Amino acid sequence: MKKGIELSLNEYEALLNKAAVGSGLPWGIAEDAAACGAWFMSCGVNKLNTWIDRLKDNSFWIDYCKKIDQPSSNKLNNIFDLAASVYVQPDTKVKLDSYEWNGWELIIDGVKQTTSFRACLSETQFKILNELAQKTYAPATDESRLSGAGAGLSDND
Amino acid sequence: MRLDRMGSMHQSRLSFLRQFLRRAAKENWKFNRDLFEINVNGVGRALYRLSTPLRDYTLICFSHDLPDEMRSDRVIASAWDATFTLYDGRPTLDDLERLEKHVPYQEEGRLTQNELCLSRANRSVRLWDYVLDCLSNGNQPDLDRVRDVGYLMRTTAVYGSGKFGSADRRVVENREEANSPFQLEMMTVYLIRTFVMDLIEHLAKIKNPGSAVKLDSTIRRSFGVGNSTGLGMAPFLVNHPRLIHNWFEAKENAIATVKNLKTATQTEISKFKELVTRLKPHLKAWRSEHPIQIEKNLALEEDIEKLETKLENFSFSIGSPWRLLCDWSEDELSIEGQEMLNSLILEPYGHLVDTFGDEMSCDEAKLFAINGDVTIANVKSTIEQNYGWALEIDWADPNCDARAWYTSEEKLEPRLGERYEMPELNEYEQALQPGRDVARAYKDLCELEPSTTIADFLRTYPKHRHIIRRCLTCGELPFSEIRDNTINSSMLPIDMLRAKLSFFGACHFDPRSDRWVRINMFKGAPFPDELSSGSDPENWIWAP
Repeated sequence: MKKGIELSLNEYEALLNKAAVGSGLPWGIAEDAAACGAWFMSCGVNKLNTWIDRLKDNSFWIDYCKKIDQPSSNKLNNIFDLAASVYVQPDTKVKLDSYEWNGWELIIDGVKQTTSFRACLSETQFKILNELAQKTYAPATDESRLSGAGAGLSDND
Repeated sequence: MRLDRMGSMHQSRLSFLRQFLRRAAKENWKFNRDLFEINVNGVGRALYRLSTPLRDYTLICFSHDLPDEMRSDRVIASAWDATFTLYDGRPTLDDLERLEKHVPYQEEGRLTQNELCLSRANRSVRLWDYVLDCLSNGNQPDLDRVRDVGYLMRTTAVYGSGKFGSADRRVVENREEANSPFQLEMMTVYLIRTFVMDLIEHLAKIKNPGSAVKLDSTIRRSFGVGNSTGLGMAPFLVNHPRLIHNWFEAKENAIATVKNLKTATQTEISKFKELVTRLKPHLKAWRSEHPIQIEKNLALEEDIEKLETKLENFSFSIGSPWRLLCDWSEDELSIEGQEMLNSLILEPYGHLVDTFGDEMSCDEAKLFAINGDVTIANVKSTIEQNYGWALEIDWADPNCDARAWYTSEEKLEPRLGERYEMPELNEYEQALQPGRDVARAYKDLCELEPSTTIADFLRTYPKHRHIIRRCLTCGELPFSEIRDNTINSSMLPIDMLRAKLSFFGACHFDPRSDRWVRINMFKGAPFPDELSSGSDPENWIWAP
């Protein structure tokens, strides 16, 4: 295992989703932001720090979602725009700077990227994402504990 | 899909454990116990391997000595009687050393892409010591007492699909044996059942080497694996509308196929009637102390008698007999009884309905994109068609939005709180109330011109994006939505749990509260060695 943190891609996308909600993005926008971040990771696009920075900017993600919803409004200026074209419509073919999506895989600087189902991130990145995700969890209280399944019942039978 | 019907569903030929056993028998999977090192205190490890024609899977078992006071089925527990992982292939000793540092700690540990599932189980205090004493003294346990509980251990979680670092579903989804939903989870539970039987016989032998006996094969079969399921399953049903649609559609298609048959053969009729006769002993052994389930089981008992009486004079030679029988049940039987009949009529028709099981998995990226060019008028029309039930609810009534779904920071346990008693929960609420959210979105949709595109609407109202996506998805997939209020003061989460568990193949539903249910899996099913020796993978269902 590489130094740092390794997650399954599913686990990573769920963490990104919670981090996005914890940052204040609406639920539906967070779903698309997380899908975008997971797509970056699966295709070898090293943009997690940028993705995290963007969480501070609701309007960025609202514009991003508009590009997904109406592809004709999507003028490709950066890798996020390319992601907006591709991850919901993977049979699209697009080129942008050093990136090329040929309809099924990403090519970066002429090198085909192998799709990965693992996410590798630094401990710092993991910590930041978890701190944001933590904002979506309710504090542990006695009252809250009573609203979980199995509360107040004997398990020894 | 209404909650009361979902809360009355039963296992069927399409259930995931039935699909698993059917494939294992058909492909003649080989079974082997590669390791069994358990000491006098029941502590140690064991390996159980299933070999398909193409690959091996190994259940790695860690057995522990758990003090009674630490035993808890809740997510917030931190220790268990036994812990497990399903390994992709055959683990090396290094793998075992690595996993011994993680698997016993469950959610606190980390897995790799070589591991497919993570699980744990607790002993039944009602049965464990009793069966151990019987066997060590050379006696067989009393069958009625065994049937009262039905298991020696119950799992309290079976995690897969990338949880805690394990392999993503996408790693295995193209393998035939793993393509249908939850097949590897079913394999995990099935092998746990065998381990538990071996463990109790092993400990009985250690306790009294001179006189201990093994379980009689009939009694052995009477043990399934118990399971305690809490609130985590309810969000799953809401969060996977595309997948859930495929499950319900497959079952509906199977039922429709049988109902459309013009006649039934004598063999098919006999098979059906034989299963009906099994229901009474099955129901007798289906114990529950929950007032709702007690009432439902009493009604089901009456339903079975009504069905038997009906069958005495029922002619299967007139047109579409199964349709006539189902139509009759809708007037005469409780919902439990109707759902039981829906499952029963599939049994004689494996050759017609089993292939529907191949259509129950799903590419969840499908219908994820929102077509932004759709107009508000179109979206409103879709909502009116599919969510009329939600628009009719008076959301200003505190009973209608009484609850809030949230996750606690305490081991991320899913919880359901009373919103008006704990107003701070509003801040942590999750998107698990489509009815309320669609009503809110609809109100705002009415504020803009009907010709406005939904992309422009969502730019103005980004908070509605999740529910608009859902409405557009569910408009295409009629079985994707629970058409009931998931935050009503009287909503029973156990109804949602039961629907999912019935698709797993569970029986003996025993709600312990409104949000927690115990069930049994594989009770009566052949063990792996029996399956390899030609035991019927199907004809054990509705075992008492």
